[in-house]
Amino acid sequence: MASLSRLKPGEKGRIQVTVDAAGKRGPIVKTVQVYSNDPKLPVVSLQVSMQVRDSVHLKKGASAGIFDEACRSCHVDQGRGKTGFELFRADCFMCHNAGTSAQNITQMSKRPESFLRRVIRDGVANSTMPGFSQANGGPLTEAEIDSLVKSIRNP
Amino acid sequence: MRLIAFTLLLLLLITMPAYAQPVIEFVEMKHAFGAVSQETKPEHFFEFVNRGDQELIIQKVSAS
Ligand code: HEC
Ligand code: HEC
Repeated sequence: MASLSRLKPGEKGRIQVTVDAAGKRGPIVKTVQVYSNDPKLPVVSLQVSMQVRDSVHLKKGASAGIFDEACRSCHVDQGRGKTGFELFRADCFMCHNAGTSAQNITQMSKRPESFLRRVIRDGVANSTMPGFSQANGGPLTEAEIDSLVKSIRNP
Repeated sequence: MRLIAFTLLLLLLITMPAYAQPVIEFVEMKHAFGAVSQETKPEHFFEFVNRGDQELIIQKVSAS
């Protein structure tokens, strides 16, 4: 991996680090240890990090088309026929659960009902939160949105 | 005179190893690739230089 294993004073070298992202998903951190005869720094740790995404999720923060053909098998169909917390688990957990970037259900339970209803219907501008109401091209009926609001308020 | 000789020796002992040694110095030790696709094999080169005045020997590179 090192381009030169013996370097004279002043000489430069480089260490190549390659990561195979195939089959991986989410945040990945890799470290590489470099051992040398430098008495002060016999081991140096190098670190590379990345966010591995499958091809549909490559564009970060792009939820445009999330209710369309290419995306609905995961983002819409799982929630069909469900209400309340079951529906939340199917349609919302992928973005609103511990470990994801958007807030979880406990955090949003403190919001007033009117706010929750509006956000679920219309989404949040400049974020990946899509508007779920049918008026916004989303999959949810008013009754389903209502069941979500009730379940968020009483988790 | 003995005192001077002694301090000289001490000085030598202190300064000698600080000079006669290889010093590994990296330009950066962390690299963030950002978002990458599953189909790629992201690759990065970490550059370093021997800042000391002795030969630097890279003995082993191991990944974890
Ligand atoms: C195979 C199932 C599947 C398909 C198909 C799918 N998604 Fe996702 N999506 C997920 C899961 C699971 C997550 C949760 C985050 C993760 O695990 O990567 C997610 C998270 C997201 C996020 C939030 C995370 C981010 O990257 O900002 C967005 C936005 C998103 N998807 C958009 C889309 C769009 C747009 C499409 C269609 C082009 C789509 N998804 C197709 C399963 C899917
Ligand atoms: C593709 C990712 C994604 C999906 C799917 C998603 N959300 Fe969001 N949501 C976000 C983001 C991003 C925000 C804005 C950042 C934040 O509030 O953490 C947000 C904000 C919200 C907020 C406002 C939180 C606050 O207090 O400001 C509510 C309520 C909410 N979402 C409910 C839902 C519900 C209910 C669903 C399922 C029907 C859902 N979201 C599905 C990404 C998503």
